[in-house]
Amino acid sequence: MNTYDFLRQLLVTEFGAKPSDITPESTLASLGLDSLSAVELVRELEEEYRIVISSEQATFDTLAEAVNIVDSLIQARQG
Amino acid sequence: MDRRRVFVSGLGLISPLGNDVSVAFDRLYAGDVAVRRVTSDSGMPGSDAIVAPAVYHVDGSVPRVKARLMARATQMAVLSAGTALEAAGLGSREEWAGEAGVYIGSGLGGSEILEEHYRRYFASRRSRAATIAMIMANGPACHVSMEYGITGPSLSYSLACVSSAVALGEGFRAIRDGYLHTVVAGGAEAQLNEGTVGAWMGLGALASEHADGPEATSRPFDAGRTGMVLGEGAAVLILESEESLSARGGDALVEIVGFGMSSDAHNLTEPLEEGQVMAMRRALADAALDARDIGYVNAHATGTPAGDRVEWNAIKTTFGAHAETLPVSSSKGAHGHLVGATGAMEAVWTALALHRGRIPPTANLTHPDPDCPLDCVPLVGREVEGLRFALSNSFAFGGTNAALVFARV
Repeated sequence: MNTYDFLRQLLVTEFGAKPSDITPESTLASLGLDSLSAVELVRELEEEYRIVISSEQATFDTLAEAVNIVDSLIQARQG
Repeated sequence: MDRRRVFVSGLGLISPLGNDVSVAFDRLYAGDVAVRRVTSDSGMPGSDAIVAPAVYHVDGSVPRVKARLMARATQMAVLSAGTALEAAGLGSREEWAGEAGVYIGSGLGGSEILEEHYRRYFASRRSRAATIAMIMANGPACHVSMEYGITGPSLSYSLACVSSAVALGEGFRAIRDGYLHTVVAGGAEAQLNEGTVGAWMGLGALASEHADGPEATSRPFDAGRTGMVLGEGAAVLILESEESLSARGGDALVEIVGFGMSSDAHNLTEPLEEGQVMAMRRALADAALDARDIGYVNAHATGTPAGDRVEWNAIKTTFGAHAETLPVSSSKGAHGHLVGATGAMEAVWTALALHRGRIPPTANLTHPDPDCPLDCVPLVGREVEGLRFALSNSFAFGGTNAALVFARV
């Protein structure tokens, strides 16, 4: 599956988000995640894709931005 | 300033006897037992053990995005607090939460989270970011503060088996002595994860299965008692000053009139009669009552051969001739020992016993120990007219003792 679909699935199964609430423009806060949950979500992405997301990169706003960051880190790792 | 009077205005619990306060008390009064064998195949934490699990499954009562940051004890505390606040008629936060505090005790806090952490860490070198914030014993108190917007002090007492009795007593003092008008007080414990149950088994204090099966295994004061049974759950009582209660037209269930504590300064695991007597006498003195005024004692008695004996001697010493006719029952035959939550859970039973004039029995007390001089209300609950004051005991490893005195209103 693509990164956005994985992120969406993670939000639903691990963080209890409603599928209908999730859009690329959603922020983590709008889905009920506080800062500690955001850290845990970032860790899950790092483990899934074997990447390291810097603290600066982890301050993304929307899910679309998160997907871009993850995809570019995957590309960098593969490249 | 003059001492304020302190009333209990709401109750909430999650217990092995269920999560409806009134129904749970009715079950206790009827002699029901919630102790059973739990094996790992059933999906419950813990291996083959005789325990009293709380009737609590993570089911969305707490939204998953919040629940994943809350240990089991914390979830039960937050839900119990919600029930108690609703029962007290305390809804809108602005009215009372600024003058309120949270006093919630727990022995081990996030016991199962710590176990999950160790399993994960030693297998994979990884840790969840939320681990530290989830294992801490003040988790229940802090989450109750967060959930209900309570901005007064949040205190957590970690005193093993007296944690929540002390939380109640200190919350009582905070109101009585003019610091607060409202306290959300209680305890929460969830220690039935396999590793912790294993540690209790290693101590050798747990009961062996009775010939009549798991349900018969927790039997305080009985000649055939062999030890304690672990339970889990949470109980919360809303404490309010007389001024606060009357200003909003709330109803009082019972009044708390005394609290006494002592330390045995003796032994880490063995109780001491003198220490227990001191706690009870201090509670009575605090309430300005004579021993003869007490109409019911809810005992700590866990079903250990030594512990029950020390307590019945301490009660005999404290109450003298009055002990010959004073009903003393232990609810642990029905629901096991809830450790950090036990003081608050038994305060709920004591409050309802006073409120309803109904003394719950000691379950499984088929053969009272012949050495026990007390009337331990075997098997069958008792309606009592004119019950005015009751005392609840809690005694802990480390030798801390606490007693609370309640008055009918």
